[in-house]
Amino acid sequence: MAKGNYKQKANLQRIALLAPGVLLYGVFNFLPLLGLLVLCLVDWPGIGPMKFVGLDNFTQLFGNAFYRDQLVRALGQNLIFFVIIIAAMLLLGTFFALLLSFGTKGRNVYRSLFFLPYPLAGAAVAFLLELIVRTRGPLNVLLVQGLHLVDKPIGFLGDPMLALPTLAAFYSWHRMSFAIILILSAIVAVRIQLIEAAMLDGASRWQTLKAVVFPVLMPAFILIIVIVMVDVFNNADYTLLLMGPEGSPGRATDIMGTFLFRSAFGGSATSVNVNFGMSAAIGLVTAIVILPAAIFLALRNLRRD
Amino acid sequence: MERLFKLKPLEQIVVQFILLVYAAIVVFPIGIAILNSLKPNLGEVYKAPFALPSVWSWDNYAEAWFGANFQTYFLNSAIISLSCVVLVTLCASTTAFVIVRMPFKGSTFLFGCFMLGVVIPIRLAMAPLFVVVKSLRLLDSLLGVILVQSASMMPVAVFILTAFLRAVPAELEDAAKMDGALPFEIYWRVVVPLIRPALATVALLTFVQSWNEYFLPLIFLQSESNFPITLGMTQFRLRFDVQWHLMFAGILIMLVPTIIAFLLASRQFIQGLTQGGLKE
Amino acid sequence: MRLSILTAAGVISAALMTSTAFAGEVSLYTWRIQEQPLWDALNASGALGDTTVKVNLITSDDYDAKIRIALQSPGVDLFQGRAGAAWLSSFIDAGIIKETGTDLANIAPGTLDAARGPDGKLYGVPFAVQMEGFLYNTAVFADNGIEIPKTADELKAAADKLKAAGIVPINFGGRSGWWLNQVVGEAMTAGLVSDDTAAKLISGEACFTDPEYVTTLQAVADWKAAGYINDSAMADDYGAMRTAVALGESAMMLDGGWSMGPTSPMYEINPDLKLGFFPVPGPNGKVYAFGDGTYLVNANSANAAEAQKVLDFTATKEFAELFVKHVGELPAFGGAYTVEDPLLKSVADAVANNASSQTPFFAYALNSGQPSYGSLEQAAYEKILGGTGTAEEAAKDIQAGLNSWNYAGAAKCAL
Repeated sequence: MAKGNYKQKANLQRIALLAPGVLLYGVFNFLPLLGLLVLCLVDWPGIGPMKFVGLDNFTQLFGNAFYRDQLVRALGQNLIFFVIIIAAMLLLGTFFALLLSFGTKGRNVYRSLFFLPYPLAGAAVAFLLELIVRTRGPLNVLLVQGLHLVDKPIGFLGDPMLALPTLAAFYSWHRMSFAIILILSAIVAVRIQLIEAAMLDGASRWQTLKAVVFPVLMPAFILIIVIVMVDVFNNADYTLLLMGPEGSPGRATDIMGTFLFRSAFGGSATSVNVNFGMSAAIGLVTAIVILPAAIFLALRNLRRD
Repeated sequence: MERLFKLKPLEQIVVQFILLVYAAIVVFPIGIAILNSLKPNLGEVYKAPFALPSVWSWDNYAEAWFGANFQTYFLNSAIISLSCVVLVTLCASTTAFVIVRMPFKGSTFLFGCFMLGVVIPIRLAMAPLFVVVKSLRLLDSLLGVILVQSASMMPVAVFILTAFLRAVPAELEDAAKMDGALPFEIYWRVVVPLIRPALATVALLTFVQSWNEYFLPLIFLQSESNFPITLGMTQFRLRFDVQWHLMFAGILIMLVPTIIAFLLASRQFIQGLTQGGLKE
Repeated sequence: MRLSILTAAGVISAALMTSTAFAGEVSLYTWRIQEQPLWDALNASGALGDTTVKVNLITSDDYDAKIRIALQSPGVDLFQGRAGAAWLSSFIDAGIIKETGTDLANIAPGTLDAARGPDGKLYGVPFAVQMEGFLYNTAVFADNGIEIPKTADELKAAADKLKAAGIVPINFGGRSGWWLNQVVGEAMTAGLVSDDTAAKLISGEACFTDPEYVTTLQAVADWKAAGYINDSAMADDYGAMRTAVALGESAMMLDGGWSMGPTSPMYEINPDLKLGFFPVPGPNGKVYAFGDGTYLVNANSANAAEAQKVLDFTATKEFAELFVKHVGELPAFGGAYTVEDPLLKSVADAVANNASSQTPFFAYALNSGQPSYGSLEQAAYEKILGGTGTAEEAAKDIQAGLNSWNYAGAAKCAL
């Protein structure tokens, strides 16, 4: 009797423990994710009545040059954006982590200093760096008058070729320490192994690093790749903050996040056909693009451990 | 002993040089901001961005502070981030506890649902999310944005906490259960103290993320009185964009609390990040 | 312990749910920071009775997206709309705005198009008449002995003189996309394209590849080729452009009369600044004038009645004079009102006597489909300033974009 009572109570409490998290996530995250499947089938400017249009949004997205060109451009540029950032993070991140792992003087100070940008609010970082790289800004003054590296100021954010790499540099400046710290902790974790290996066969430092350190960095690399990939394919904060929903100049900084935002809420005074359904369709396409890669990397990561 | 990590003097110099260069890159924008925020006018920022101000204009900070509702923005940001931290740590830990220690039919499926949120970020579902928030009449309220931001952090939090909980043995809990303790008590007395390090990680990630969030408040908050600092900064820029010295002052006002918090807790920050990352 | 947390959470969430609006307060959503002093003064004077207006500012770049979002929550009572049927139509379709009940008899007829929907009905009260053309730093002109250029050749001569003196003759802020189509495109058209041709461009009887329209793009390409424009024309934004002219590093810019008003940030950069204006010199030689936008009532607002009262007030002479005094721009009011500032008086003269009557940027016929004329025009100027195409190619892009959604001239102007 008492036992049954306990079980009943335990069951109730289990439900009570489960409910808040499931409700919170379910209503404000999972449900909207499923909602993508429904909303992508309607034409709806966000206000007023909804119109069911079947797969028309997808036909438009892939068939109508107006949308298709934007999709191809946004996807391509998003990929470039991702590649620049991930290359910077993995190469420089590993490089600096290695330097910090040696018996470097003042490495704790460096580590703290490098970590400084990470907790700063993205909006403030964006505006700060934008001021720095303006044509009349300090960086151009330094390059032109101080170091005489160039004749005239560089239009970092105005040049269609430079704008996207500049935004990628902003992102990397802000988040680099995330990579450094993750890689550094992976290196520190294998120190003992390293020393043993180094002592065993008297290998050179580079050989040891290659044979022992780099392999164990894989989980950290994969984690960084997954987190950065998921982030840059949905987070368009820098573009929205600095270049507007149209991804100026001439859509040179347009990525999936801005494209999605623009199709739901309009980009400027001149965009007239806003459609939440189209936005959902774009979201679904983006999800399909990143999902396999994310799952593959996540599974690989789990299996290794 | 630590031959591999020891540096010869020449190597030490090279390494120091490289690290100093990167440190300069990190510090350069912030240093420039401090220097130029104290200049009396735009002309000095333009003509000599690296020179000391001719007059140290501390008033710029007052002007920037009163030119924008910084206290409102700070308060809103604090309310949003702290509420998110409380909600996420509480909800994610109870969920992880049940999934790991009291599995039931469908708990694997439930875990899978949470993992879907890890790989598909909620911003992609912005349109349906907007419909949900709108139909719950939570648009333009702090509560709405808190719930949305917390929910967006839930998948990662559950992921970290379940991984952590799986790695710690259940002996203590089993003992408590033998004594007839009910799940509430086990959770509060045994599990919470046990997973405290992971909870700290989750709290930290949640705080930084929600403090930095720009996009979700942009969509869900409309009244300026509800704006967190990320949106407040855009309001500030609207007024002072061409007044660079005031822009720098305003940006620093925004950055300073985080920098101080970071200096006070840099070790915890870094440890938190590391644990969060490598705990799978 | 748990209980107290829950109670606290309940109290907090109750507090968070509470609306911030006070009784008798209506909100006004706007991108126009220059109107803040006007509404502050109105609130202080009690001219609106018990009602006060709370101004909610949104940056111009974000306005179009954010107002759409804001209108879904109950907080918006009054808001400002961009001019023209293309912008208004989706709000009309959604039932957000209704045919206005305000008496518009005293509003200048030329500005009413700003408030007209595709169905010809009027949906709000137009708020300002804006003038666009060249703005110049008078001190720079005087120091270099330059008179206002009246022909393209005089403009060239002036630019050569300025260039020789080390001053950038014409400053461009091409990073601001809205400025390219809303200011550059329109000011150039008013200066170089006859009103008749402009009307035909809108109705589809003339094409954007016609030589007369191509001259607008060609002129900018020529200025760039001759080195009259700042090197960083695409990298600088609207603010950088105004800063350069305010500091006298640059002499002229294509801009609107709002930059000359008393609240313009240009005077904060240079308190001694004096500005003048003239139309883009050319065959048509007119300034561009348009109703800047409209005050609109959110039909779904809980305070719609009070908002309507405020809206009625914006159509009065009293409001017009306060508008002149505090905003320093021309109101849309059509009757007589006092203007004391001589600069503003001259703007009023130009608008009344020498303004183009056509406004392609706001024309519904050119902007009801995607890509709209406005966005195509922006892309065309980006192409020229970025040096990635000629004026003819840029014009062809505009035509091709419009043809893609079968606008009125698609058949006649098939490429």
